[in-house]
Amino acid sequence: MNPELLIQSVVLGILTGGVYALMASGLTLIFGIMRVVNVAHGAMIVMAAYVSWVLYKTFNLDPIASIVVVMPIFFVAGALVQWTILRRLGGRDLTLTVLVTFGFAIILEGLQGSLWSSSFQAINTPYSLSSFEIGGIYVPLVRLLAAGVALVLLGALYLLLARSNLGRAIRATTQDPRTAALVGVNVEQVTMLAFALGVSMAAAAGPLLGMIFAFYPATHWLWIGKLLAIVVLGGLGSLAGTFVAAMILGLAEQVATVTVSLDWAPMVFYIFLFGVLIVRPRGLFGTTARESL
Amino acid sequence: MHRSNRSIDVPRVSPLLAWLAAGAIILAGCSGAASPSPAASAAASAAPSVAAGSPSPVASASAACPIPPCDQPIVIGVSQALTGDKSDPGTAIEHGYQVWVKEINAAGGLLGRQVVLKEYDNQSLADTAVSQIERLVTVDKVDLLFGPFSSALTIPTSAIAEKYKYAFIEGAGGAPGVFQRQFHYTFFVQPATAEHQADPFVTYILSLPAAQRPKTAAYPQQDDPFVKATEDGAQATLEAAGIKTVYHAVYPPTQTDFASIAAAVKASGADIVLGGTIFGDAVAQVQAYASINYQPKAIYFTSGPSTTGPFEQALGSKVNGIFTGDGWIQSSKATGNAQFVADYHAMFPKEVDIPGEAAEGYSVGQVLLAAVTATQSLDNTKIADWLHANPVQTVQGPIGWDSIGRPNGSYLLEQYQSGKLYVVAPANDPNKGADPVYPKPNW
Repeated sequence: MNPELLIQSVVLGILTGGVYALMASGLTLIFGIMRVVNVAHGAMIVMAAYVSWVLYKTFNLDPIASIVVVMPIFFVAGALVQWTILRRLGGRDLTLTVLVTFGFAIILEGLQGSLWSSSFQAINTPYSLSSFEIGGIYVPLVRLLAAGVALVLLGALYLLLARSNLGRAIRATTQDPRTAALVGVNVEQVTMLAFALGVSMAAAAGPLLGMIFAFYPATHWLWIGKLLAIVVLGGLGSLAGTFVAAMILGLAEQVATVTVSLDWAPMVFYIFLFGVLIVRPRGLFGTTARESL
Repeated sequence: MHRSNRSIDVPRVSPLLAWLAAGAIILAGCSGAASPSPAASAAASAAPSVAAGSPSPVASASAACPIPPCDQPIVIGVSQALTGDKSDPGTAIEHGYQVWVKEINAAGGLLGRQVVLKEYDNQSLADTAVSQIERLVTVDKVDLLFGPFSSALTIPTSAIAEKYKYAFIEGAGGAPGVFQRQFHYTFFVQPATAEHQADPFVTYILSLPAAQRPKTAAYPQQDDPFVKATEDGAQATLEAAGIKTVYHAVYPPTQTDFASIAAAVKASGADIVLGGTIFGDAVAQVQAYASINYQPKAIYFTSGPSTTGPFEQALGSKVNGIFTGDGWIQSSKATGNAQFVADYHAMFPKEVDIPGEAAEGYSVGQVLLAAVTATQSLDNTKIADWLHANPVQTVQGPIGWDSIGRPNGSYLLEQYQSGKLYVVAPANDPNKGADPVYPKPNW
């Protein structure tokens, strides 16, 4: 085994893991507050990638800068969807809500296919293929930027949840909606805002995905699979757990690509998932999930 | 109270949803790339699209219409990869079919009857393609069939055509799996089968002076029957000639992250790369190699570069130096090619560069036209029997078939130079437009 190649794959794994963490953060946030797996989360990320791609092609808007545009749009759209549709399902069978988000995923995929065809797309900026070398190890600029942006956004999300009134209300609602309501939290409103926040985190991840990976409408099925593995490994609802799990799986995937085999790399996610379900069904951070979010 | 409430709530809800999540993942994994696309389903269930030309059938029977009903069009059934991971080349083949249909209708039709395509989108999924071909034959009762894009879809669908004794003329299914079952009704309309696609490249590499000849090769390839046949054929010959294999790996069709693969190929120190690709993976490989400054002396892709327009759009000047094998080039001097190119541009004016797959689709039409005209029949058995005995002139040159539908010609070596795809070998080919460039210019 070539040590340089191993270090190379570790570097790629860490950078990719950072982006995975951002992608999964909204999913775990939404689960935390609504106890619902948003199956459309991957489709929302891919949608944001398309929007960013269109903005880049039409207005030459840099994909990283486009995050500032897509986040508020998706925040509002997420709030509308939650308020008009998902809220009405609240209190009923949770599987119904999962089915509705499954439906959203299919609708988004169809919409993307009809608007932009099902061809592979990628956001190719002039710096897309730039990289710099440190001691024989190549660090692709786009992945470094994406991981940096992901870290900043995750930090902001953490601060929002930890320090702001909204964050406290979200955490209270996550822990116990009834008690939160008793102490004056408008649970319905907070749930809507938390869902919208989760969707806007998906939106932030979209342009980063579009810069690093090729995407087409059906790719969201692959992503939702990976993202669910991450949030389950981290402990459903735990932001810190999601971050750690994303790092572990991002690393494992890249290292497996160069050390085991390509066939096994995608399987790494599912091997971890099944392992965790058997040994520790709550995930890595599951027990402290409610408090730490 | 609060504590006991949580202790009930958390452990029960969390594992339940965790298992639910696992179920969703398995579901996602199963459908994978494979996802059902509503747009595609809608297209599939929609009424048959009239591909081109006048939708109104010819009004009256005449001596030129030996097979009634002369006021009804001849319907050709197609299950095509119009969405999904094979959509770029699949759409290109479909365009080739459509150009041919428009031409034939403008010229008075096939045996005096107008031609319409009844097409379904199989979403690049083999199971869907199989059920669509079954439906085209048994429910829609089409007169004739054309094949889908890629061996992966041709292998299962050709079995349905064989079962119902329908001639299955196809432009993009040349893997050994297509021919192993020795079908009578399947005809592959390219110059040669998949295992020979890289032959001109291998011959060229081995023709280099010993000092220049590469010593090592890498074979990153997609899990696909056509790709496997091409790559295995090339690898065996190169290894026998002393070019060592330093990297060989198979990735799934859904692979979108090539960073670590590129790092591994680079670390292997391979002089040349034979990428077993379909389209998106060829683009992604080039981008990943370029971003880590890996500069192979030569790079060959099995498929991708021949889908010229989208490939150039995706890679810009990075296409230069990339080799591929194909049976056709836009500037080909083959009989009928000038008309095909003109008609294609008239129908798809935005596509300046015509994808090679479009020529393959058009050739399928030419082959059918020749067989139907010669037999004066829509009898699929007569058509198949005739094709086994007679070569047909296509825009890819003359193609003839053996008893199991394998073509008997050879491919051309093509290379991008100054942003354009040229035939660079064999030296005596009338379409040769440039000499091969080796080593490849840096990305």
